[in-house]
Amino acid sequence: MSPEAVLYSAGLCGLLTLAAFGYGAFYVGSKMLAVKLIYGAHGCYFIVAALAILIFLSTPLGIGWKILIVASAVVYAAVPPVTWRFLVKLHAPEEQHS
Amino acid sequence: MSTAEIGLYRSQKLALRYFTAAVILFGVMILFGFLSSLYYLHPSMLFKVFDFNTSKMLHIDTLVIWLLMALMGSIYWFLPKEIGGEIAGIRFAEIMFWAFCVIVAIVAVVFIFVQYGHADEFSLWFINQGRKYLEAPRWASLGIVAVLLTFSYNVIGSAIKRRKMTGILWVLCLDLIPLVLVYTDAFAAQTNMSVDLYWWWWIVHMWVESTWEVLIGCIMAMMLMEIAGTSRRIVETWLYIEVMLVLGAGILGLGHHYFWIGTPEYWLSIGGFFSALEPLPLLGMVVHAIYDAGSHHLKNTNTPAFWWITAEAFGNFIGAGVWGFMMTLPQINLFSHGTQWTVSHGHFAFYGAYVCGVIAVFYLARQKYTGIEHLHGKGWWWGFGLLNFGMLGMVMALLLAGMAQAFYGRAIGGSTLMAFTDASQNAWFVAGMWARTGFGVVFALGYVALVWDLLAIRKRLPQAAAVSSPEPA
Repeated sequence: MSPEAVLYSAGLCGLLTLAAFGYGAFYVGSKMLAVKLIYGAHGCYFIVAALAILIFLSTPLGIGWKILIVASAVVYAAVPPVTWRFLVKLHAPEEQHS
Repeated sequence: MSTAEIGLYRSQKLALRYFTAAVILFGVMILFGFLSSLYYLHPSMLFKVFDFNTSKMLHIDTLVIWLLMALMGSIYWFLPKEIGGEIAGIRFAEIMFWAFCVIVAIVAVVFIFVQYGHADEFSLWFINQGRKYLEAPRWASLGIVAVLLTFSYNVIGSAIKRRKMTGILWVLCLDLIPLVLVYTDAFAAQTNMSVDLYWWWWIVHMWVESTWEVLIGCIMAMMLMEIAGTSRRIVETWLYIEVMLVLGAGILGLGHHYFWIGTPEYWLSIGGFFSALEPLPLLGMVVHAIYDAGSHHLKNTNTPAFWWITAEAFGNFIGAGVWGFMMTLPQINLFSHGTQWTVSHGHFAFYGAYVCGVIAVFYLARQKYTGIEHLHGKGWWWGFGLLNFGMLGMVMALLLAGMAQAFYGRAIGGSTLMAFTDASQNAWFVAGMWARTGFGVVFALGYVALVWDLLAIRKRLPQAAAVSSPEPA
């Protein structure tokens, strides 16, 4: 791997995870604060997907790692909605009680 | 003795002693961290008087000890409430606290004034074992095992004595087994470096990361019930999920430490794969943290503790998740491993996963001790802001320096000694190290503000109402 490719690949991996963080935060924000924040969530997830594709196409990482990154980007899409539904279901008895 | 202190269990008074010792050692850690950072700027500083390796050793070892003390103190704080009475073997626990302090003091004096000895059994037993994080001589490590065994007896014995076993207690009791057993790995003296490092990582990853991760999970579960009124059913469900994730991704995530120490090549695949999975559950935790904060409309009985818990969820994701994933794939890790890049990740992950959490417990204990029903105010913002800003600045500076090392020293220079030396003089690296020292000062100021705030809580809130006390010990 060339010196430039090391920093480039690492930077993309870090940004991908950071964008996933933004996606999760905006997603919950849209459910709790303002519906419009869902656009922020979509925007962040678009960045996640774009970075995964960029990593796949432009970095010298092994094919196995590239597939893993693209697969994890797909899984990231499901984490906030699934967690949200689980949380709502988990908290429902307490909220009904209060 | 204050009125509030009379209402505390002996176990909680012991917890306060543990917290005091932990906060003092936190300060010692910062002091030696600052000193260590100066060696990068002035490499010949205190040459042959007090070398870099001794300073760094004290910085890292005090980190482990102050966090261990804070975690144990947290359990001693919450346990009486969990079991509904005083803990079993409290007198023994009190004796072991002082024994722990004496052990730490003697080891610190030996490290500062003796530093190292000859390569023989005497040095291993009485001066320095020479393994990073585990430099404490064997007699001291045996002492720590005795402390951990006493701690385990206190927890398990209390549950048996009171015939009470909650979900949190089950997880805690089971976690005590690896907490004691994995630490015994501290006594190995393998002559084969690969074998030695293989087992050494069990301490660093399994003991400090996995076992402590479950321990802080139990503490946060009890904490959330206390300050946010979250139900036991909810916190225990999340605790089970966390244990499942630690077992699922965390244990084999150990593999990313095995990349370049002479272990078989399959560790590259195992370590890379499970490490890549680690940010996924962390994202779920972020969603949960925001949900909890929102569902309570940020209402709580202790604002500083609440914000420190929130900082923990975010810090854990960014420090362990983002910083970790940036450098965990083997092809990248080949260049980043062992540079300041790793140091940046280590600082951020430790801070996010543990430091923020135990500071939250300090505030809760201080609230109960001073008899304040609702702890809010603004003074705590100084400590919160400066510590977080200082840490963020330090990790960014270390990242810059680490990337310069990976780029110039490893990828261009080919990891030779000359390349390492050249990279250490590179302008980017030097700028990063200067910035780290500067932000280290900010972090130290944050520590001063935190201590001041913890001490001044009662003075600043004279209107405090008495909090309901548990049954006296």
